[in-house]
Amino acid sequence: MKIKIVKNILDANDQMALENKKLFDGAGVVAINIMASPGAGKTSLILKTIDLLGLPVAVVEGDIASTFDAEKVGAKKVPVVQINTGGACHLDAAMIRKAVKRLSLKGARVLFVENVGNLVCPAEFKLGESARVVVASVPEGDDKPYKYPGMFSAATAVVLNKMDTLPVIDFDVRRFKKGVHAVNAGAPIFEVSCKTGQGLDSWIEWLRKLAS
Amino acid sequence: MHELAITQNIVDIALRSAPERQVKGITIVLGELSGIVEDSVRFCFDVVAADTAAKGAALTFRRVPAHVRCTKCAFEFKLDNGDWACPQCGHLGGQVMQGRECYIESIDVED
Repeated sequence: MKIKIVKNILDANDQMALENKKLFDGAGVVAINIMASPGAGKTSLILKTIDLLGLPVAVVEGDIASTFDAEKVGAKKVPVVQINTGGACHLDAAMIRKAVKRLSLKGARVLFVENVGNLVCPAEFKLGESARVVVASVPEGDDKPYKYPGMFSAATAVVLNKMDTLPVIDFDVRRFKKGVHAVNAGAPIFEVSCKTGQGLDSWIEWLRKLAS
Repeated sequence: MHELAITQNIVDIALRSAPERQVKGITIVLGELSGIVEDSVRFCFDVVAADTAAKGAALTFRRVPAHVRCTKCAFEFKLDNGDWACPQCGHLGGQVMQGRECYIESIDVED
């Protein structure tokens, strides 16, 4: 006997993400899901942003293993919680729900969620965020939007990091931007260097608008 | 690797839709842009469905090709080999009309 269902496979996660979103809205917090490949500069961007944003921030760090990132963020005296997925390649809404129970959101305006370094799987799992930011970096190459369209099409904004390495790396900024806009016409692209601080002002301005 | 989580959801939905009954088949609709690999789901299914009423169920996949509408000239075209350029006007930047599907269409259970 055939039973018609038509149910989104990720429905359970989507529902939980909606509940998370309500919880964040109720607490007056804007959650930002930061996604990138390993080493693109997710943690560096969060650290720099904490310094420049001038708004109270909380952070959830997602990694397969280790607490290095949470320790770096914790050194800024910011509430932080580390999730170790123990092998899973992405964060899901249930993990976030559990993590924020251990986190004081009181007074926080922005919650950064640093996803597991991966340009594939995290795109599929909503967490309850208001914005999804994909961090790419110059040394990774200008072909990434073409190779990972799922991730770049899901982005609210794209940060292109390590712009200070441009003189020594073959990277065509125009080709990169064209690739992003091919799959995601409206996404702003911020060209920054977390090392030198270049370009971070417009990123910070965008974030402030989002949080206001 | 996220196919393990995806497959867990597939099995959960199938079991909840037909409590106490043996699931003989599951039809899954996957868009070309869904990012889900059929072979990986099949591989994970044997593990996830073991010891459940969905054990041994036949998985049928219906693939949906990606269709994009050009945001400049509104021409609708099938995405070919990841080429997002509009074949009509060359503009890059289309709106996905179909191809992100990721749902269970039906299950087949013992009468």
